[in-house]
Amino acid sequence: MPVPCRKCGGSAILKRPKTGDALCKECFYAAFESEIHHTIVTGKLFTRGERVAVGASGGKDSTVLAYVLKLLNEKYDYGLDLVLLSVDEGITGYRDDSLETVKRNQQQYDLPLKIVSYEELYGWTMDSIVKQIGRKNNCTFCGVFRRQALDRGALLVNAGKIVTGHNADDIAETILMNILRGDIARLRRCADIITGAEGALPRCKPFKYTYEKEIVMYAYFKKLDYFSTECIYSPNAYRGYARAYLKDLEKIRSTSIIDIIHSGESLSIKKDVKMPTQGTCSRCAYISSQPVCKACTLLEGLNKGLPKLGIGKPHKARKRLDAVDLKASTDSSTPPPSSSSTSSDPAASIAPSSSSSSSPSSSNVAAEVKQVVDF
Amino acid sequence: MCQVQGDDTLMIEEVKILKRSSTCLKCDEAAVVIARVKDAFCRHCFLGYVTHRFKATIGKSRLIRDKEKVLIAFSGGQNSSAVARLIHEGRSENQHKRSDSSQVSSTDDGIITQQTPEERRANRETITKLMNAYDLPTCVVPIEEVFSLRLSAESTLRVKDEDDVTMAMEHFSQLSIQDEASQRLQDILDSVKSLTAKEDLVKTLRHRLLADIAKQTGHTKVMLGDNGTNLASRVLSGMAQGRGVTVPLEVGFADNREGDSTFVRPLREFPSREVSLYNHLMGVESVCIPTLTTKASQYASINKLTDDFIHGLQVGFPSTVSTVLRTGEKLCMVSSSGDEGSCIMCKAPLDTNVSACSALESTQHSLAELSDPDRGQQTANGQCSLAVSCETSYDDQSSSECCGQGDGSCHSTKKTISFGDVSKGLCYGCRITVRDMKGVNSLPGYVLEEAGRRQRRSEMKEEIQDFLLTDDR
Ligand SMILES: [Zn+2]
Ligand SMILES: [Zn+2]
Ligand SMILES: [Zn+2]
Ligand SMILES: [Zn+2]
Repeated sequence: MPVPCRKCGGSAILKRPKTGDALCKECFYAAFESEIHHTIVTGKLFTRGERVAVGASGGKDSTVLAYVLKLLNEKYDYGLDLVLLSVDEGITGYRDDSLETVKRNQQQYDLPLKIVSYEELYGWTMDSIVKQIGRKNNCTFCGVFRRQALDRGALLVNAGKIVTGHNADDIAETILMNILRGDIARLRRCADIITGAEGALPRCKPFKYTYEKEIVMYAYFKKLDYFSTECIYSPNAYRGYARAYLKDLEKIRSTSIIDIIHSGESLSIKKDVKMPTQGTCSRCAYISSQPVCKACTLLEGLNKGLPKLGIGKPHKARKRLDAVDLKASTDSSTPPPSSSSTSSDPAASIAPSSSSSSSPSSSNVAAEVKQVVDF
Repeated sequence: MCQVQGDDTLMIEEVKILKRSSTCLKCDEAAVVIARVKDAFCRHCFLGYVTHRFKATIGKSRLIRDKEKVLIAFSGGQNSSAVARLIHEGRSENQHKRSDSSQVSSTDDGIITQQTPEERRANRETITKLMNAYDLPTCVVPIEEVFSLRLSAESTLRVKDEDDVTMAMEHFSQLSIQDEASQRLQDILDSVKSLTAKEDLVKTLRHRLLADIAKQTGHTKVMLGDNGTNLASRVLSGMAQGRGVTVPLEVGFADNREGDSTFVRPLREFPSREVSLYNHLMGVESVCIPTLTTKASQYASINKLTDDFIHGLQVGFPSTVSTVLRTGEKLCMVSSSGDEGSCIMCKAPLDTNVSACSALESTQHSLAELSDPDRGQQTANGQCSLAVSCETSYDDQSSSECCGQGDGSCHSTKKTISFGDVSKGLCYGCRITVRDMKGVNSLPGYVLEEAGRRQRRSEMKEEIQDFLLTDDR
């Protein structure tokens, strides 16, 4: 017996995860799109005439985002100039395939595409980074580099804003993650629909209130082409716990995701809690709470052949890196550390003891957890 | 109540952990327990550490004055038994000061787990026996008493007179269970669909009752037994139930939303393990009165799931509890605006006056889109999954009966309160809970009275709106 569509009475083919209503295909599309339009309008995400970079990874969220934004831009005449922006991390097998998807999307949606690569921005691909540091901390590098790469790419195409495909599930998960990590600064920011401090481009999340399941449904029925493989280098266990907990919550109460976002929106942080002050990096001019930004610090470690020195708390990493410089300048007979390999340099032995051995379980968590998406 | 392991397994575990270092951190005695993360203590020094930390927690809050009258909320479980014992120890130590006239109070929640009257009586006796060990006045108040609470009682000044206090105490210690109230509570509980909502409702009612007992008996503080592990779990489960705004109140040392009677949590610095160790070493007796989720699966309720989740994480990452708790501490209360800025059920600041771009508004938008063509359907199947859709759902249940008190206190003779009227006065979290119920008319009188009062005030305001110069309440 066919179930009637809740809206038009036709025959329903799905049950909306968000409201539990049975809908036909067309009514689901209409509801899905109208809600995103509602978010865009009430959140004042865009201004007419703006050039907007759509972060495109080839995954489901960004694929649907590009499709829907193009559609809404035409339907409601936002007057936006949309550009697809992809980051090529240089991961053989993973990025190659997803970039192919992005390129196909570019043709299907007829939007300009810009690809920026880690290699051109930093001189390192993720493959070569992993070759040097192993698989343990690579997500730290990737997370930090990607955040900047999107900004730099957007600047290259003269976009004033970046939109990302982060959905309600991602945001709820990040709120939980930041509580588990005790990261107050991020906890405060992560529920904002538009983020980005001075100096960095604003980022916005039109899918903030959109359930992941509905994005998949939309892609499935619209037969949108996306690539869905987890990054081959991503073992992020801790985030996995938050995700599993969220999925369990959803089983108990289907509105949990939106309830968590509501909680996140109504949190306020004590005034006397220290918040990092934002400035700019003295090397690359990117927004940073430290004199040298995280990416430049990591890069410096990599280029000195001592990648682990750049990981960890910024001021400690700085101290370690400066110690290496000092040693190199006083001991001028040895070749500069940047060309030496990790094995023979005496300073290399400082690294593990100061950054990651105090208590193995907690420091692993810290390192893995560090790379959580920064909204 | 009984999430802690039995004493035997507890000590076996200690012996296992202790293998490596076996002398006390403070003296050279052989260690018997591990406290904090890896500090070995002998029996004597461990007890000293617990006592010191307990006092320090209270001391640094600077909230409890010497000789202040404190009500200890007692369930008979490990936590509240430890609080009572620690307070008792402290009193006998300072005998010369002859301080306070504190009291131990318990609520009899038997109806919630559907105990028979005989079982409830037996449990009350057990609890009373336990409480008597602490040499303080005691009372066990049936949870049904929430139906006798009146809004008007709240506005009357706190009793100061010794005689009033004695009378109030006598009153509370002699309460018997009213069948009518039992039936009403049973009806409410039966109408709540999910265990998560049921737990939330019971907790709100119990807290309100405790606050009322404290007020009437002249106690200015209510001590709760929540330990650090419970509270870490509360941070997450509060967030998950849309109660982000109350997390700071729910997990901090002091919760002052009840005004004159502040709830305090002196065990918040102790993980549950240390509480059980203390009880074990001191021979503190406690009982396990089953709760709604005792023996239930981890998916029974959000609280249960979260307890399990935190427990599991804590095993792998021993800093979980303290990190989560510290996060909760750094959050702060938004101040509620005026007497109409707080929830009529739980007294949390109202978090429902939100901007157009928010989780609440976006949900309302989704529902509005759908309910346009046929609004009636929601009422028909009695199932609506999200907050606002319910605003109209239950109107048809409104009949001409009064708010259910029948004792003349009811002011709303014209019509009963609709779901929408009540919902307006509820915080996000309580809305979730109340929309899980079949109707609102069986809610306790103080909730309905306040809903009615606010409703009338907003009607008044509407009437004079055009003549108001500022948008003042
Ligand atoms: Zn339809
Ligand atoms: Zn930089
Ligand atoms: Zn000792
Ligand atoms: Zn409430």
